[in-house]
Amino acid sequence: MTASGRVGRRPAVIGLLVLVGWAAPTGLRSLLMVMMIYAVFAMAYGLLLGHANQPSLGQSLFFGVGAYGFILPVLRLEAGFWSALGVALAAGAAAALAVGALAVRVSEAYHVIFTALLASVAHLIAKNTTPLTGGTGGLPIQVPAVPLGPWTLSVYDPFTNYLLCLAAAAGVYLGLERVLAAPLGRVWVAIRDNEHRVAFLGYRVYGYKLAAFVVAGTLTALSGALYAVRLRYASAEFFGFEWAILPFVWGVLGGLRTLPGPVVGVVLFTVFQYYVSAWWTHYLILFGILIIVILRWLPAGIVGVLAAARQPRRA
Amino acid sequence: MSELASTLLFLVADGLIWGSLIALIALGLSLIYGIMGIINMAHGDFFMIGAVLAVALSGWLGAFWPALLIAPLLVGALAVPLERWVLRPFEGRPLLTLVGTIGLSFVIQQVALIVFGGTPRRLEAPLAFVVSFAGVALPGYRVVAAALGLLFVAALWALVYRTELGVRIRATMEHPEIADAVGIDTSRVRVLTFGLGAALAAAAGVLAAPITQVFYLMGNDVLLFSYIVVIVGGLGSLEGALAAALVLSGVEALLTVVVSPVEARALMLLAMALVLLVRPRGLFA
Repeated sequence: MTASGRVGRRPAVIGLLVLVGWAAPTGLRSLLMVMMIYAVFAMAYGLLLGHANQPSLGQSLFFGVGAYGFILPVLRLEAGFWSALGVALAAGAAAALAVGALAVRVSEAYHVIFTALLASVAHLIAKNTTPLTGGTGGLPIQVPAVPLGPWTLSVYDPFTNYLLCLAAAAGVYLGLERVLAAPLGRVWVAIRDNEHRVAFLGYRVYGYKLAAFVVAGTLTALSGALYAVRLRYASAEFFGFEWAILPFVWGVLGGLRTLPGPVVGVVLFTVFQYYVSAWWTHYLILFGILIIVILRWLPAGIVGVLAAARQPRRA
Repeated sequence: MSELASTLLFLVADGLIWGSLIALIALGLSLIYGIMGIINMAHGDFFMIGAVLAVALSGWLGAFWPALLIAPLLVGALAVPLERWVLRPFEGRPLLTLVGTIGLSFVIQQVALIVFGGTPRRLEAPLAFVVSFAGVALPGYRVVAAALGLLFVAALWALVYRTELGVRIRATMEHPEIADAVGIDTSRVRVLTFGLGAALAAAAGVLAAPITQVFYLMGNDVLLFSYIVVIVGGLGSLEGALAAALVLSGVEALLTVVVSPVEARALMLLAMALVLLVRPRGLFA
């Protein structure tokens, strides 16, 4: 596959998604919208774990911070759309900086447990500070109009909301693609493959790992904010532990070491969730079994397996 | 004695009672991590099954105490094949074990929900006397439960440090390859340790059933606190887990005098973060 061929397909895919969003019935459009919001979250996690080797299980914290970072300025300060989104991203970055400053220092086992505990306690606090968060009942909002150059758009028009999510997902995809090809991304991958050697070459490993943690936290906050915009509300359940596990499941299902992998994982898993949860109340049983099966038999993810099958095996 | 002093004394005593049950859970977690490198997120559910079995068996048998023997055996027997046939390929890789055991936890919780129902239940305390000292009155059952909890801890201690199996366990924990090379069946040690840890958690669940709400998600809260304990004590350290369980439970109970329980839990997490900053491997490891 040539480089020009790869670039050439991107506008076509985005154009196709615009067309589908315009023509699709409401249910399908809404499903695609959720997938694109999740895709931002999933790509952020793929960057964090698949490229920079940071096994965080506390990303739910940044998802919740992003959602509340968006709705609280709107509710309390009557902030406009873009400034609220700016607050959400800044809050996500700040939270990730604070958590990452400790988390990236400790070994894998401590990193996983520390982030998971932090996210669980954040959920506990969010549930119990009802005046601020609305607790599990949540806080509804009126999403302000979106000024964009000469136009003023409204997310209450479903197609506009769809385009907003598509712009975010496509922007994050193309942006990360650039970063991963740039020296910064190369250093991340090198750290994943052999941290000591990278340090030996004179790179400040701690700073690079922290940078990955902050970028991932900020993008996760973007995903949380978009999710709150789509539902026009946020609740303490945005901090729930399933939001810490889902990105891992998406990433592992699709393949963590490529950029499209987590997105493929999102598409497959969201369809599964959509149909199975409607069909069986105790679908968490299937979810649990599926997690174990994926971990056991699909360690490189579906995209990884497909890529390996396409490439002739090296002697 | 002033009222405040006896309130504080009561809280510390109650905290220590919970601490002895938390110690049982944390010791199992630390042992399982030390031997197999498993971060076991289903451990709280072994505790939950213990409590649920205590309620069910008390109903069927009309007596509480048999559950203390039966539930750990059943849960241990359930855990052994899980280690051997489900978790073994993930061992030694913290993230994989953590996510895999979360999957396991979902399955166990949903099965408990289907079998047991979603309504929280309370079990009446099997002992009705009251222990009073220094102006503090504690329900007798709680004191007995704490004593039994510590008895289990002592039994585990004797097993690990005074028996031949204990030698094999410690050898596998310190140098798995060398233990293997000198002819210790490390696979059997793994299976036994996982079963033992699960059985201890179930025993804690049985003992906790009369003093807490029994329902299918009860393990989550206990697991959260137990992991704070294990991290502060140092992953894989038994002394650390025991000391941290007792101290942190006492401190958290005292904190609830001035802050809400949720704030107390958040402060414990903060304390854990501070410990990690100063000693990235916990206090005892």
